[in-house]
Amino acid sequence: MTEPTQPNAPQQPGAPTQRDAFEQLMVPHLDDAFNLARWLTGNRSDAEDVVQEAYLKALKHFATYRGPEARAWLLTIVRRCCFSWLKVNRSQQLTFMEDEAIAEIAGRPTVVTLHPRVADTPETVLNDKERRKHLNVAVENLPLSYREVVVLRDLQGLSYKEIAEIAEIPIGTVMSRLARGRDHLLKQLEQRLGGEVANGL
Amino acid sequence: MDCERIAILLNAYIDGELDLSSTLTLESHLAGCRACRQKYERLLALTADLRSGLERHAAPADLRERMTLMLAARPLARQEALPQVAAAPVDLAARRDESKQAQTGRQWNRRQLFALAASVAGVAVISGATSYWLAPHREGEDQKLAEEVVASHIRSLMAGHLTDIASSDQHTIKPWFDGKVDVAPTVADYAPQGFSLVGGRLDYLDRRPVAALVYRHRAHLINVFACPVMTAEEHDTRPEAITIRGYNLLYWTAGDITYWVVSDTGSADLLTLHNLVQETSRT
Repeated sequence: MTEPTQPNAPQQPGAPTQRDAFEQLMVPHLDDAFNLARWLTGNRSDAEDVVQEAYLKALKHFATYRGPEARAWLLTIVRRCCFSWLKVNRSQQLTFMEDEAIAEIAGRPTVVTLHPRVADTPETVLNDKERRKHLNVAVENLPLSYREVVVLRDLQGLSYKEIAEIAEIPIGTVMSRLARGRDHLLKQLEQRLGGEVANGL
Repeated sequence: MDCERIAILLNAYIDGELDLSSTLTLESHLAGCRACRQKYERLLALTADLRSGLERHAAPADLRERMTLMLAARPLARQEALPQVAAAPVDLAARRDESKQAQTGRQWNRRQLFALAASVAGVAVISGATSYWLAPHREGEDQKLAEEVVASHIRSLMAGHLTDIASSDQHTIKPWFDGKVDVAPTVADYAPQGFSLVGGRLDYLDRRPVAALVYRHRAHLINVFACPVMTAEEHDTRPEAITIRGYNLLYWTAGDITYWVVSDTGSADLLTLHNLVQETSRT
């Protein structure tokens, strides 16, 4: 087992240890870490594996953590683990990562194949639960690089600067990917919900 | 500026991430472009829906379990004394129990926030979670307004336009608002209680001019917006809390004024300020 070596400062009894620091700083973000992994991998058990691996990595490299943005630091590791996982298990999805490829997808007419039962009757007054389902499905179907910025921004409430750090892209790219991702969602949802985007959620 | 470029700026504008000069460019474009205004409304509705409707996946209990075992099994540094380490799994277990009661993240955050606020300030506050799910329309409007409040707060700090009138004297500030806004907000300096009055400013929220009061609490600046009540229905409401991008907001209605308090300081501090304002307005 490789352990980060610490300078041998004598520990006061009861003084906070590095483990305590890790617990206090990183464990509270377990829900955020899992949520991101769940949205990126698309299923629960893979997300669990990825998060566990990410925490192991975080623990191993905790000595390099220089605060204070614990959440962003942790999520950067979680995201990297997700992408390594996707590379092995969903390599097809990753080939769409290039912006050009994504722009092409975004430009294509949306194929409505999901939940045809509901989509067949756009006039039907959809209840909140159905609207919510549409919204979640639409985000699940976003190309990966749009999906991650939308989840980080609209669900996790992170700033552009934090998102740029986590996704390892410039802030300008965060802006344009968010804009395109949301456009894509508007198009999909308005098509499916009959022109009116979920005023009722 | 062309509409395509504006579309990208619109997103940053809604997210409160646009710098002042682009904000001004955007706002003047919006004033003259109906298509972009519609786009703005659609994006605003979409982001509100995403915030409230997107599923927040909480970490499953067995993952927490595994994490506890992992942390217990892997000592970080050799010199760690056992008694300190032994406490770790217990802490984790306690946290797990807490979060088991959690439902969705947003709801949970609110409950937590209120629990904290109530315990610090010693007042009973009813959780906003119930009204959040029962009154989605109301919540949507409040959310939109809350976004505006945060944007105004950030602009006031960024643009170096914090106050129009700098004074800690309520008798200077209060009359200054006369004839400028439709409200007579409660103005008082709470320096002894840790909230010193910095000044007042005219601001613009929800398409109307409003009074903004600025307080300093330790290193944090707090904006208190006083807006005329729009509808006659609610005249005295309990404070509700929202957190947007790390900014804490508290809002409530007293008489014919709705107060919005926003800062990066803790929500318990905002609740203390709420209590002070309410106390002053009663006397």
